[in-house]
Amino acid sequence: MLTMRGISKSFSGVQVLDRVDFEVTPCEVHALLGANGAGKSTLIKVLGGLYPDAEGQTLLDERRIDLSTPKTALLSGIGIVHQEFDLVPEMTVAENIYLGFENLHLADGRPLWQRISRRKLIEAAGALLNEYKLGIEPDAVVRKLPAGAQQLTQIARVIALGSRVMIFDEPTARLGLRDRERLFDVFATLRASGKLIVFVTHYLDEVMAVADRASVMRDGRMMVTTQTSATTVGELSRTMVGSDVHGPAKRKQPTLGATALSVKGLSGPTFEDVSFDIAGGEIVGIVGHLGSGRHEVTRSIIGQIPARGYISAHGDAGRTRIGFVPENRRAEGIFAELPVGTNIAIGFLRERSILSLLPLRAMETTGADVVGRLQIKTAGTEQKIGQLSGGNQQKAVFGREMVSNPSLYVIEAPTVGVDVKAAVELHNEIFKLAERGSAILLATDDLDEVMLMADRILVMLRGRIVKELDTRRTTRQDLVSAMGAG
Amino acid sequence: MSHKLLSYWHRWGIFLILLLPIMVLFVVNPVFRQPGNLFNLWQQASIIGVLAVGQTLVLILGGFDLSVGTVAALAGVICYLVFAGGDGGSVVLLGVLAALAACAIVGAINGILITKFNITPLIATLGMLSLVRGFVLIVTEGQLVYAEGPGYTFAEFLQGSLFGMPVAGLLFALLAVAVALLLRRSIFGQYVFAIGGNEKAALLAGLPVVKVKILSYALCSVLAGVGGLLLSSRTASALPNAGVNYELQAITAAVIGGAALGGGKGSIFGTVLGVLLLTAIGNGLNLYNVSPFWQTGVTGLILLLAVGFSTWGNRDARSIVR
Ligand SMILES: Nc1ncnc2c1ncn2[C@@H]1O[C@H](COP(=O)(O)OP(=O)(O)OP(=O)(O)O)[C@@H](O)[C@H]1O
Ligand SMILES: [Mg+2]
Repeated sequence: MLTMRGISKSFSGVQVLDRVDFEVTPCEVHALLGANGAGKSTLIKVLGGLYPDAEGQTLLDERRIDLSTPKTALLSGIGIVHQEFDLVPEMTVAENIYLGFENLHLADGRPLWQRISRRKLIEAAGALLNEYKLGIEPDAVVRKLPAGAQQLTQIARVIALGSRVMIFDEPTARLGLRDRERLFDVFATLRASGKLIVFVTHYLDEVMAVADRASVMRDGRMMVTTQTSATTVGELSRTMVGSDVHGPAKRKQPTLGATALSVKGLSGPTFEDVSFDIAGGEIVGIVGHLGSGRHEVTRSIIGQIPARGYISAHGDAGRTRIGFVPENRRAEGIFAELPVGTNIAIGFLRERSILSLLPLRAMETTGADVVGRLQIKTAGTEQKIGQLSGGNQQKAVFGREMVSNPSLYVIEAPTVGVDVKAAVELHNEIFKLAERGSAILLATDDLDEVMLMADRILVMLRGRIVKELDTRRTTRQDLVSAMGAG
Repeated sequence: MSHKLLSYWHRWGIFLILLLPIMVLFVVNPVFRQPGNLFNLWQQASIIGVLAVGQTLVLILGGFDLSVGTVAALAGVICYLVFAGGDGGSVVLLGVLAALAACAIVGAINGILITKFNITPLIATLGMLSLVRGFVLIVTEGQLVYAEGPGYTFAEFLQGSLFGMPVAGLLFALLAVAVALLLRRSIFGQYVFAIGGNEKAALLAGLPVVKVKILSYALCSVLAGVGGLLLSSRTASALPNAGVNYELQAITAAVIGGAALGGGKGSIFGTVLGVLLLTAIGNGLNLYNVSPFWQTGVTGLILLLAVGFSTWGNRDARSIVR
């Protein structure tokens, strides 16, 4: 049994964890829940040996464990998939899985001069990946893998570690539908073998489906731990945010303007002959499994991936700005070392500055306004954005695009990693952007989200748009079958 | 797959392009292809070569070492001071060991400054560059130190030949192979790549990051020391001003060979190719009496060509991570 007692942690005076008690029993999948910034990742980092200055004590099977460094935590039997990626991009999947225990068992005192056998690593990794049906090649270079496969690599690493306690911080955020199923199968296997499994998610239906118990945190405190069979999604989210969560406002009947984006015969590295239009005020979803070309199409519209064909976006003044919300906020969305306020304002500096001077006042008011509107949890607009919790970074990135006023938005996975309440908030904001007349291309893996938000859905399969669905006359099941086996 | 071909081209194309003038030289210039000239070429390449091998190690680690040039001078001076202070065969061993030990200490200090004091590698080794140069100038009072007797014989040996091959060149080859094996086949090497590739991941995986870094800087310095011994053996004397700007040449060679300044990438094989190419082109320019002023410029041009070549139009090189 894992027992954490009275865990407290503060960052320069801000109390982030406040006497948290947390308990996980063997053969259990335990969901750790809480709104963005509640302290889930911080609690996990304490377990991972990243915050040796945290107060309180942690026992594993009645014995105190040493959480003073990542290494001692690992050796004590704690294996973690952190929220942010921690892989070595230039190395293979196998090398990443066994990083730090190249002789395949996690004993101490590995001599540095010992020979490394890559063949053995590949074999071992191959066997493991097969056994758990993770569907990635052990000799693939991590840098070249899509986000989902990278996430699976991290999961495989924790399995390989064979830790007694296995912790997954928002593992499903980057996984497609099928990979989620795979992960839950892995959970079942691990649980049967007596492991203690903790996982963080913002998808409460996942919690009901796979977790035995759930613990809910709010503002650095542990609120409650319950049997999932004895609670409901509504009750859990109420405990998380402290009030009822209402679904998003209904989409008003859109008033469509002139065509804002027109794509004709676009072909690129993994897609062919893609054509579609989006009118001002319209929300168009684009979906497709990994490898369907959806990601590449989206990225070629914003100009990142070169493609042949024809794209025209009609702006107001002959020039078009595209508001872009990337799915990978950490790598592509934030300036980690800059303050939250600057991160939000950076998109409109040029428009608002006079004589190239920074529009300091506007920066401050807009920053504060966005922080308030999206309820971004931060010590203030001066805090470095890199210090915010994952979901709050996501909200800030969205907020930046929200304040400038382009006629076209390309939005990828807007609510990944965002808590239930904030997701509603963001959905409402997207509706408002459309009502203001902007065209919106929404690329997401979350089928419920696309069903809720989009007026039309483009379905991609093997590099082509195979279907265009009118959301009002479509069920989720239609959508799933249109996407194919992938 | 054309994509694969393209990425090979990005990686190795520059060598083909640089090889071209050398092949032309080889065909049209009988002096260039004389065994004696090739012998010289190999010998000349070995000094920068040894330095560049060490540099590659710290570059892969995500670091940098600007102090190798002065460390080379330090090795020479210490070695020849010991030579000058005694006679008998054992003085040679003593001198070499003292020199390399001093280098190891300097390198370890570099590593400690970088890991324990969080000074960026650039600044730490820049400081060390001046510090060591100052030390060398002070102990020699700016004078050259020379060797007689066994020390002189040792210098002659290093500059001599073995089975028709230059001793210095053989030493270079041996060290290059040893470090290549260390990097590619040992756990230490694996950790060097891991730390350079993603230091945070390395820390989370519980790797001995500090230890690996200190060892790498120490090894880099020791290799620089070996370079210094080769350099001083040319004249059987140590100059306090030896090795100025060698660090830049070493870095140039490693970068031409594919080492990335951000870390995580590079190979000894590439670096050795880089050194040989630079030396061969310099040698060719010499044969046509091109002034050394031009040679410096050409080196710079080659560097820019090499890096530009591997990154221009290469999407992989830009960090479009997913
Ligand atoms: N290094 C840091 N410096 C200052 N504050 C920090 C730091 N790390 C985390 N915090 C603060 O601690 C709080 C809790 O963050 P944490 O990452 O634990 O939240 P979380 O529950 O994991 O949220 P999310 O669901 O968004 O991932 C946040 O308000 C965050 O701003
Ligand atoms: Mg978190």
